[in-house]
Amino acid sequence: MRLGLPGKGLFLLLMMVLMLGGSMAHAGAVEVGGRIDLQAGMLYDQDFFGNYQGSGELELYLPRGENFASRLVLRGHLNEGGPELGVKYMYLRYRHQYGHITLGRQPISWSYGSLIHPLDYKPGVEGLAGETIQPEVDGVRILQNMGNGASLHFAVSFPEGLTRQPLHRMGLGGRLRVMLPDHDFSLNVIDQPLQLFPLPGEDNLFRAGLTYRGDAGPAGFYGAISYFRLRHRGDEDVVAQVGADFSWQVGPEYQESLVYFQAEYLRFLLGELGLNHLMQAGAGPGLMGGIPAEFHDLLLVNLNLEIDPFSQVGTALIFETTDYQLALAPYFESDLGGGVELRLEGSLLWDREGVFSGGSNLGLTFYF
Amino acid sequence: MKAKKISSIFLIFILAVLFASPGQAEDLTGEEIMTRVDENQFIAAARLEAEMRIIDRDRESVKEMIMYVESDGEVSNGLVEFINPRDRGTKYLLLDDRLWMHFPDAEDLVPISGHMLREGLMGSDFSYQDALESEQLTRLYQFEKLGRTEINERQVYEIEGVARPDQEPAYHNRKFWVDVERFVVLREEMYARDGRLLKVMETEKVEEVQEGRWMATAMIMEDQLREDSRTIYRILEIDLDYEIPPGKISLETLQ
Repeated sequence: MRLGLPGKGLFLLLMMVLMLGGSMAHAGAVEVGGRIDLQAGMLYDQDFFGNYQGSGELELYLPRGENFASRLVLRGHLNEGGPELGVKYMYLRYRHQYGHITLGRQPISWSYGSLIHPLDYKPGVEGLAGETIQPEVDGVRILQNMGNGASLHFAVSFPEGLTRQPLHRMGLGGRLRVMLPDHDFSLNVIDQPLQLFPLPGEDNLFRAGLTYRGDAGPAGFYGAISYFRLRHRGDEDVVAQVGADFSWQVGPEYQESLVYFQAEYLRFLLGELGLNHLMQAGAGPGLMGGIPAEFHDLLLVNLNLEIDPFSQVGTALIFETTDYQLALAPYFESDLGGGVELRLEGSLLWDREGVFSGGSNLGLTFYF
Repeated sequence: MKAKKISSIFLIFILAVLFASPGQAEDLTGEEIMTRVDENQFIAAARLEAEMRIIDRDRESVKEMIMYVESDGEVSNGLVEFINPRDRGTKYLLLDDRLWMHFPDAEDLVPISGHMLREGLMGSDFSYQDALESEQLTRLYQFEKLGRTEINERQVYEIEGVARPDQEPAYHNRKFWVDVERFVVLREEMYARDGRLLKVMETEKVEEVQEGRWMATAMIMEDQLREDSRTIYRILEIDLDYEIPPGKISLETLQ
């Protein structure tokens, strides 16, 4: 069994958290919650393959102090290499009158409602085919509220380890967010180190740009414009994203079930950089089903139908025009009661030559 | 200063905090009765623990929550924190008539788009829009008293609300059955413009939460468009003297 703690610093932080939790235990009991996921599936890629995996999360809900809060979420995986334990989140947060300072492994989301966010601090996916992947970050986050819905965010991260990291291998970012009724603006600037992939070597991806989200009648609209640059290689690009979401109720014969539709298009306008650079700066190249191609554009469509209060069915469509690959990801989710959820999902992928690969998966999740 | 009805999602469930004054109630008009309901629902600050049971045929899901509500008489705000295992850490913030969601995995605030307001709150028969409009009834509707009748051995006023000409609320018409002594809404029906019945809410339990002050503490909402579906909302604990920590209900605290 491997223990996935990345270093001494994290271990010391764990001790601090537990000590703080212990000192505050007088104020209230520590509660425990979490989830267990078990999945089995089959993959077709010129031949059939079976797979099975299990994972779980355990969160300790530690009592909060007047100005301090902490969060500790442990996780485990069962996969081919055997069991693996690790820390998902572990941080301390100091709150003051104008914001907070958070130190440790934490989520940093600068979401503005898109499925893939080109200006997120660490890009992942949000709500695509019902799945959300938010990469955790080891580092420091500072939030400074400015009043009237405006706030400043700063982040410093250590993506390649916690000790003896040269400055150029650390991540840096800032965000100015202004939230007004029906309007949400952000100005983001991020510099993240990344391993060039599939090319060998290292570089830093600098990103800067604006995002906007607003309502227009019955629909929501959003968009982003950003400048990307590999600082050492000098490759640069302008990335644009537009999207919309809409929901409506289908007819009485379907019990007025709610349909939710979201579509967005993202394009690297100069064609010098690609989606792989963006994913490498965030959730990693495996995010899009392990496809390492240098996509220069991406169309994402999300369609979801709420069958009843406990079940929903939907699909995601992913299409790009570099290699003309098309992927479909249908899924079905149902709350079985007793804290157990069922998820059936599939993936179907066609490339330019019409070669097909795909798979299906059955998963059960127990919440406690 | 006129006390404004408590806003919200949170307080659609709380509807109706009353001071009994039956002596003069007989001559009240529909507008005056609903204004009394509004006024008596005013809560300066409170903490509530509640549960929502979502039932569809033979399946049931339970959402547990802690709610904080505060009002200065003009603006009402609230925060809901879900504590059941499936949703633990998910929060809804109502601030200045806007709704926000906070997810524990992202620890970020997401505004709820206008078109999403028709969706059921956490899959329940209550929609976000039900919540937002619950505080604005006297602004959105014109009320007329239709008469008196009896529900569960309680005398009630029957009130009809029709959307004001310059407003477009989620429901064109509503009917209320208001307890004549306690001014608690015991039943409510919501209709579309074409007269179709969309939702029915019935009060299951009324309690005297303070001396002379009555509140509906259990309600059943049925979305008539969802066959065999209903949501039961119960207040398990309420503290009307709770002092909400400064900044607890704010965008800043949830970022």
